[in-house]
Amino acid sequence: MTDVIDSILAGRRTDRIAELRSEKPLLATQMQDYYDSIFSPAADSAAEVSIGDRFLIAIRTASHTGSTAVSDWYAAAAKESGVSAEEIAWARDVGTPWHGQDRRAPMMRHVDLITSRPVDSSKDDIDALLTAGLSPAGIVIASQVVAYVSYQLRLIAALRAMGE
Amino acid sequence: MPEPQFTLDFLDWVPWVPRAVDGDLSDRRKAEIEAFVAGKNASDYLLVLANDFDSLRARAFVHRHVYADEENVTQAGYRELGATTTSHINGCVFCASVHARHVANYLKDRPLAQRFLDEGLEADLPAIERAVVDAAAKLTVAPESFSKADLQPLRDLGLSDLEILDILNYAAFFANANRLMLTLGEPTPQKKLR
Repeated sequence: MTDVIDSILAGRRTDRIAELRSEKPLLATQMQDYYDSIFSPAADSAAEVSIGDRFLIAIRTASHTGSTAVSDWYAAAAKESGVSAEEIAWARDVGTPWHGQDRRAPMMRHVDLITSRPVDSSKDDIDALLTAGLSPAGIVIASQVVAYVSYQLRLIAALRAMGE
Repeated sequence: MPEPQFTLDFLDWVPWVPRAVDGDLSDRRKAEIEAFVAGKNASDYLLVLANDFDSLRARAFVHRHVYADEENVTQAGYRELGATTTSHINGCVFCASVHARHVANYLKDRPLAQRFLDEGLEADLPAIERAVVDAAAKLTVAPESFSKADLQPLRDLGLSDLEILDILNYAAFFANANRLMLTLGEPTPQKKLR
């Protein structure tokens, strides 16, 4: 049974972390289920935002806080699911806005906003995404990826500190 | 952007994204969503997230678990203060309102909850509350440099590692909740009495 948080912790996963996580078994399995719901979606959900794009969003969110172990993990997952090296390199480089003109461009720029300045979001931003052809499901999925990773990387940071 | 106006008052939340039930749904999915949302607060928020039903459902189990552990109310109060800290930093007026009310109830200290909403990280707080706020704030703004040293004040004040992890996990969860609440809709003054 894969546990993504253990997998990201990798060499930093000490006995103390394993012990603490084993005290909260439900938390561990439910975080994994939440991960699976986002990154191993049903076909109708995957049709709204591809799995490769979800990994790109995850890399981007983790890169905004300089969470290297997390962004590296998602970069490997993106590569495995067929995302190009150029796109992965872009996702890591948070100083560079998405320059593609394809249909993903508005979504990728929205990811930067809601990761790093969520309080600056407005109804106009959502209206612009809907006008650009993103579905309500697409908006929710991109938001869930950002929200999941924003939580996950902080839980990992807390566990890592406890294991030091 | 104007400064967020934090309040202990009950708020409503209005969606910017169409709710799942506003679009075309199969009868089966519609029934699943209605059964899921029935009896829960903030139902418009859940109905927006229901546009991707599987992630809504999986997230709800995490959400239920992060605050459903058995413990004393003081520990629950510290945990809620951590959630309020994350929400204050991120500017989530809705989440801060809900969780500051929990702080007031669990710690039996409404003035403290009000002071924290008004003054944020600079508020004058007792030692444990101060250590909770500092740890949650560091995890919110600089997770990558969060280290053992950031745990030390809480350990020195006698909290166990499990209690600390409980507080930090909940503070971290609000990095998630704040982003969804802040970016898919907005809080409004409550119209109806609960």
